[in-house]
Amino acid sequence: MSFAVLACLGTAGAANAQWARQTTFDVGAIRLTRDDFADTDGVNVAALWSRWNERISMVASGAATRASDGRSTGIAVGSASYAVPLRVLRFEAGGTGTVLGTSDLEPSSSWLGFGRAHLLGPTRGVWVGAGGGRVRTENRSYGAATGDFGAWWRRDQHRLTMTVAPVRTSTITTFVFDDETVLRLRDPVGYTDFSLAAHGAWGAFEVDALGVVRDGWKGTVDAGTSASLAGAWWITPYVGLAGAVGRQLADPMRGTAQARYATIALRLSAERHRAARRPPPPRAAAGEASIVASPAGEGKAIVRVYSPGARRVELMGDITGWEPVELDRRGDHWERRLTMASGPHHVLVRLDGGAWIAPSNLPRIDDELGGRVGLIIMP
Amino acid sequence: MRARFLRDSSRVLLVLAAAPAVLAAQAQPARPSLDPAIDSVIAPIVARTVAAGLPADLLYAKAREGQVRRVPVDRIEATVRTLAQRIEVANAALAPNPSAQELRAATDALAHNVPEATLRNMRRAAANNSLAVPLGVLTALIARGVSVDQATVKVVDLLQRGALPRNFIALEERVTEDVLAGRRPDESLDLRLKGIIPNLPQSAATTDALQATSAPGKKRPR
Repeated sequence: MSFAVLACLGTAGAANAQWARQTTFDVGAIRLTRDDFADTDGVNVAALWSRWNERISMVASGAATRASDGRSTGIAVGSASYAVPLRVLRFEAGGTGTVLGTSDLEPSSSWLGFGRAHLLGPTRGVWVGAGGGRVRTENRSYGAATGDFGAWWRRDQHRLTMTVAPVRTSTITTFVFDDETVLRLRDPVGYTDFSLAAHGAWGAFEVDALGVVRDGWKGTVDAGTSASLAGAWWITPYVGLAGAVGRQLADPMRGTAQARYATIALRLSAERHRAARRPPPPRAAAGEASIVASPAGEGKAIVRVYSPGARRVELMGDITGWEPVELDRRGDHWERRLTMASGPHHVLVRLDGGAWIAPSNLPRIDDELGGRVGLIIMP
Repeated sequence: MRARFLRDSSRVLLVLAAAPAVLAAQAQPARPSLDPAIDSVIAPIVARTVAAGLPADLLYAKAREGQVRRVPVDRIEATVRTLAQRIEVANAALAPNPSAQELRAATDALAHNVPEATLRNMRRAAANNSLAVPLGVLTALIARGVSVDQATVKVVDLLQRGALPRNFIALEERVTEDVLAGRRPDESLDLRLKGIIPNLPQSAATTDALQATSAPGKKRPR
């Protein structure tokens, strides 16, 4: 089933669904080190486009490198899947296509279809799947079969993913003789990649680590290990600095070779990065107050109150032991650093020594003492 | 050397011996300054709560709130008594070990007619994760005008899908924006959920798997 059909089916089935999205564009420098070539430096551009909702996932990416020795390489990968949730299970079907082109070699490509069953918990899950398709390289086409078993665990912004992926395919070895006769030998290969990927995010910093151990069980594919580390620092909500260093194993499915690499790039994002998503200050009319609380670490929070025209602002609530505390003026607002546990808190504010009032931007609840308080929720 | 070892050992033993007393002092409920009249009327309620192994901080805080706001003593007593009953209900529903923040959040939810069964369902769905934020958001949604039935169903559903505190906070913020802009609360909740669900761990899991196995952004060209 083609990606287009899958996408149409999915779009029709989820017409009311909203999409989560990630779109980034990297431009930077790369250094590649391979056993069979001298080190090469080059310019690298890469893009990632991802859209998903409860049922549909679509990921497309591409990268192009222009090395200092004049060689150019481009790769494009597209994946799409449609999932049907059934209680704690999710059945997924999809496909992945890859095209790799290099200036001095024939292009190679692969097209794979796959099916997966996921068992999902709130913060962890496992999946099992299998797939098959065709790989084309050096003007030869042959079949490929894959399996994949995976488990993921997620806590807040951090996640750990383990996969075991057995692959059965072929490699082509080309011999060019003195009389320019070309001999291509096909070698059936089988190997299993055991990988562990970790992603962590701390404010404007993101780190990805990947380790792979390969066990070859058929043919001449090399066993080995690889590891990579990538990081990004979001300087502004849309611009970041990204870097990666690591070693990749040869990938017979895509035609990529074993290499070590280091990259540094400027990353542009079409979506505002979540760490920089600070909501605009809430508006309050004269004589009213609005309030926001931002985590400040170690169980503390910065509480800010906005109230145009006020000359003195006090706060009282369970976070102050129901003792009035005066806030400090900071430009257009008043603020104070307070101990504030995660969860809901009851608060009141007083302007210029007047009556205690619930902030206008908060839901107001009955305090069962004959009044109303504002309900502020700390993440 | 032996003398030094004995001296250091005795310091360790002294510290260990003092530890239970220190811990016991920390476990004492915070006692805000209360008028003697208020202190005496809530004392039996506090004693029953402490005897049941439940935290009394919430009771003292509510009494202090009433005192600061000059509420009559008999009303403070009635409110504290009601709160103590809700703490018992919440503690049973959120067993085995609800935190003080979870109990605080649960008593707010119970005061807004959230059924005790919903608290049990939420505990089951969240396992050992804190329910303080989900319960707070549940109360906030009801206070914004979302019906109790709809709010409870949606919040439990989100927990079962693995929603994180930040997902709940985002939902509450967006519903608040809509309600302040004039949209109906129930309608806003339905709409905003559709934007939250794709970002939940379970929904993102498929994309994570897709990226983990096809790793499009992480492979480097040759």
